[in-house]
Amino acid sequence: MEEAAAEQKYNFDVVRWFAVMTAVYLVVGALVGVYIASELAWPVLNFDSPYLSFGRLRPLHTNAVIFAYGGCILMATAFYTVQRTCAVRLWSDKMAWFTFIGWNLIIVSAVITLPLGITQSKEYAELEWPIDLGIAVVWLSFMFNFLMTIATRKTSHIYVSNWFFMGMMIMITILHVVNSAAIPVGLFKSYSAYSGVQDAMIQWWWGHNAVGFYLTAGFLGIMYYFVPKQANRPVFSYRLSVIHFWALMFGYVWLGAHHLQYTALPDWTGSLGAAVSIAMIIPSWGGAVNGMMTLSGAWDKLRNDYVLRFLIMSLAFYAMSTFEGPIMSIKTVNALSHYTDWTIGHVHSGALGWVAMVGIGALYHMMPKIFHTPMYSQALINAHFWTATIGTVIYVVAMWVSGIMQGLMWRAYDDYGTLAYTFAESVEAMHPYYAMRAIGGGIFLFGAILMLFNIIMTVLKAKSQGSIKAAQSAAVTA
Amino acid sequence: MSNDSSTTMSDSTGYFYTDWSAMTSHDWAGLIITVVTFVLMVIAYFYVFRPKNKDELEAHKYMLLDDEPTNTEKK
Repeated sequence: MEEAAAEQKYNFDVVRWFAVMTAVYLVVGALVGVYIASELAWPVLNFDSPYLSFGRLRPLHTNAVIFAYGGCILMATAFYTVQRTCAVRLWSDKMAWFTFIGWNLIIVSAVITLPLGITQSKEYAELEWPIDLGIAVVWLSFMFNFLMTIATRKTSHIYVSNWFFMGMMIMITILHVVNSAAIPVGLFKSYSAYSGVQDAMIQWWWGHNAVGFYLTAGFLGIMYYFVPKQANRPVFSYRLSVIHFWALMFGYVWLGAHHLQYTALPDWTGSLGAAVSIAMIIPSWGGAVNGMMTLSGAWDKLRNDYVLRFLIMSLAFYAMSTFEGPIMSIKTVNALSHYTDWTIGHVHSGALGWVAMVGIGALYHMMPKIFHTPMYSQALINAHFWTATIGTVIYVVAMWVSGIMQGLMWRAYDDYGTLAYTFAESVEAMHPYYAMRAIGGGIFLFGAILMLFNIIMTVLKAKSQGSIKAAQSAAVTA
Repeated sequence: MSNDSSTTMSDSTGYFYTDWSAMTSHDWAGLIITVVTFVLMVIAYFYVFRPKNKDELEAHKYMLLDDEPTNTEKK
């Protein structure tokens, strides 16, 4: 009855497609990541091919995990949760399909152009101007459909997860349009509208806010819906969630300059970025505690609820990385950490530990609800949890050790005031940690493959049982 | 008062010294946005943590557990 009512009321078709593609893209993105990590440890894997070189595959990896995996899980969960929390069907089914097809075409175009070396050379905004235009159109269709669904809601209150999703959509629209402003000189070549240090400042205003609004605000929208739903308990404090939202919206936009310490950027700008970064620990930890304390009095659920484990572990990593980031933004620490692998470790603590895990938890929660059948294997979910956790920890620890060692080697002087180590010596010292990083990433990838297998088997099970058709036909006759 | 960086950082009056006549339109825009943001955050904190508003705000957290399609809060 419940399933039939859901199928009748909501558009789950597009959510189902986004959900499956999320699992596919996590495997693809992690696979490319493990490959380029292996290239750094064993350069022979370049095979002297420009198409396989680190410089071309690295943006493919970041685009695949951020925009393919991240985009699909954000769109799946946004469309799923807005319907349920607003008690209304998506405003436009056709527009939702346009968003799905358009977003996937953009991903395909990234897969083709990036290995060919077609790039704007702006980090996390590498795609050339025709694709940028496509991103703007598809993203606006996503946002418009979401906003109109909220506008036509049948509930009196807009639940906090929807506020986080809306914040992400509005800010990413502004950030993408401003940062991607460029002068085209051909179909596949353009130059940034900005130059010099202004270009750098705009780039990192975008770069850090891609983290702040896309990978944090959007995924907090996921957290505020799926943690309480999976725990079957209300969020610890709704008031804290409101403050979390507004502090994040007002605070995050100031941080970008901390990526440019000790550059041509005015000194005070970096100091301001660092100061606000430190201030952001308060709302970030407030949010993490809010999510975790939702389990207050019911921690025993973690013993056998593997999906909840993903969600709570993600919050632990969210708290860790939102403490580590501000510390790294302080100039004294930044002098050691900048340009080293410590940054890579920090990013993956957030990317694997927070973004990937909260998305995976949401995906496992949604699958039985949208395919109307239990997951194929709970044991595989448990195995995935441990491979994801262990793989992430190995990766992050390797990069911490490697990064701090790099920073110390680069700044070491001998008694005569000359550098104690050559750059090549520091590269040689990194080798064991690069191998360790590839192994950690490989373990994480193995878990992602387990999830994809589990999801495919669940879809096939739903098909063989006819559970979706049964729910739909029950809906028609209801 | 001198705005020499060697003296301004060692005492609080120097640290907060501002040459208002040198403010550009960009500086003013930034200053106004900063102050407005600060005031809005203060209002948000005051509203959210005012004991009078506690029950009203916290009541919303239960709507999530009530979002099944056959059992929803109506407008």
